[in-house]
Amino acid sequence: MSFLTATDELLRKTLRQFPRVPPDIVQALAIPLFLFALFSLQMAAVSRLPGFPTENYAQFLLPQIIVFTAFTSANGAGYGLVLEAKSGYLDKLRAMPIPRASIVLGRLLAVGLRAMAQALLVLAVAFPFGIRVAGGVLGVVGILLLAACVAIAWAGIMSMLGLLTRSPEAVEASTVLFIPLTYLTTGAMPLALMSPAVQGVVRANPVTYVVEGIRAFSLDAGLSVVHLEAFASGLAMALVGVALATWAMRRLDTR
Amino acid sequence: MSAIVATSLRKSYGEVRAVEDVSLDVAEGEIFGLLGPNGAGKTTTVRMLATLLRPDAGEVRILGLDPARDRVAVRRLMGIALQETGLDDLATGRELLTLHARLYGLPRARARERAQELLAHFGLEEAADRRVGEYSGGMRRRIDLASALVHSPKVVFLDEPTVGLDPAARAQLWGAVRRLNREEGTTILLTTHYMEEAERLAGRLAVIDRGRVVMEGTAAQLKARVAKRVVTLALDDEEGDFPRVARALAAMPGVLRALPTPEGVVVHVGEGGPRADEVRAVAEKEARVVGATSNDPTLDDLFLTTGRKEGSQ
Repeated sequence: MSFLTATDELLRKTLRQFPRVPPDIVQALAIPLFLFALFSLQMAAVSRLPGFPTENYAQFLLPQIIVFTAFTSANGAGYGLVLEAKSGYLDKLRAMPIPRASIVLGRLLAVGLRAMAQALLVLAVAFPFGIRVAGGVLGVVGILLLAACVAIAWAGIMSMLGLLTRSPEAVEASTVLFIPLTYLTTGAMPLALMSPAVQGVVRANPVTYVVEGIRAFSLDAGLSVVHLEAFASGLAMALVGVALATWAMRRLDTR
Repeated sequence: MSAIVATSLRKSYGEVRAVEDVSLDVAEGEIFGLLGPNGAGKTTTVRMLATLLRPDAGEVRILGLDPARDRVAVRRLMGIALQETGLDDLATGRELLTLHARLYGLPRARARERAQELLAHFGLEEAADRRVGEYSGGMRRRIDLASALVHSPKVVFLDEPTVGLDPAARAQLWGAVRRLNREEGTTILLTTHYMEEAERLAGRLAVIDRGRVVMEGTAAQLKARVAKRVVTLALDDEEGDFPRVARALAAMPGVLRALPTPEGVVVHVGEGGPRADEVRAVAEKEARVVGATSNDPTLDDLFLTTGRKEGSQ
């Protein structure tokens, strides 16, 4: 079985099954709605600070909520893999003559596509709060692709942890690591308004560049180096995620 | 030609030696049973044979191929249905079989056809479009077996295929296994700790205990090695010191062994050994005997002789 066919079959299987777990859909809608409502009401005055790039704080916050949603939509990937390992279904796949990378990639691409759908949902939920994408259709596509990169990267890391530990508790506990990755960025505050120490950490966080790219798509019509940095960082993260999960899957064959 | 050959397999998990020394030779078209109590090393052995675990030492050949070198080729030739019943609960039966057929390389239309054939063959047509998570235990085992057969494998590994099934579902699965072997000539290696299952299905058996093959042969040969006759004595719990009674009985000429059990003593009598009433008479000098039966040996008695009985480890 070729790598592409196996990946395609496993991708479609995962996509087919997403709607069969109803709480995922509820979560996908409720969380961004809550965050927009909360921040646009509670923190509207923040945007009046000197040096703030927009008047609408919710508009500024859009990348943070897109990235947050991408992380949360990917959080379940490792847990799902642990359950498949424990149920024995993963062994069934492992006993098939298919490339190990296709088992990983089929699942991660599905998570990426779901993250794109969820990002689109976030943009729809954001509309009543006056949030727009200045980059138009191209901007929306760019935002969705960056969201997919974050989700694939995180799902890959969580899958690796799931395969290494085989413990649902360990994977559940590790999901909280996405909080520093999401919040130690320029998602909620411009870099210039942070202390120098925090600025260093924020600059070192690859998610910051994705956040900046999403913001650039939403605030500017043109393309700039910020977009390029965002895709370079997003793609690198996604590749690392896929590589780590594939390594952990291949490692099972050496035990 | 041998379908499955294992030579001196060994596997440890950290300090625990799961498989100490297992060698097997299963001919093409044979149903071979791997029998042993829980924790004996059966599942680890099957996982090594089925390319899911690497042996620490020893060699495996599946239809002449070495899984360490030709892993993909070996995987094309074999099907597995594991103890944990690895199924995708969110998929419908039809989706599950079609996907598996695709992953084994069948073209899309043929994969759908093959899924339909297997659903019909295993009596799952009515449940075909229901999610596997809603299936009963018996249906889950059948879809699991069906999914192992989508690519018509030459060798099938079944690990504890009927654990937890009611007698009717068990008999149905046995029928399916026999048909598969008879009609397709598929070589089947199954593990079980059910004596009846081993006896009914497998032409030859290997008894595995503490990671080693301790006996091998047909069911009749293995039973003959245990004893000519088995006398089971039920003793009064309050009066009896069962190990002491067992020692007295073991000293009788012609008694191969006498094993204390929670209910009394089981006595394995050899050719020309004492009759049941003679055994009972000796036992009555030591304790109050409340019942005595004499039977041909069963494979259950094998576990007693290997030192462990199911659930007593």
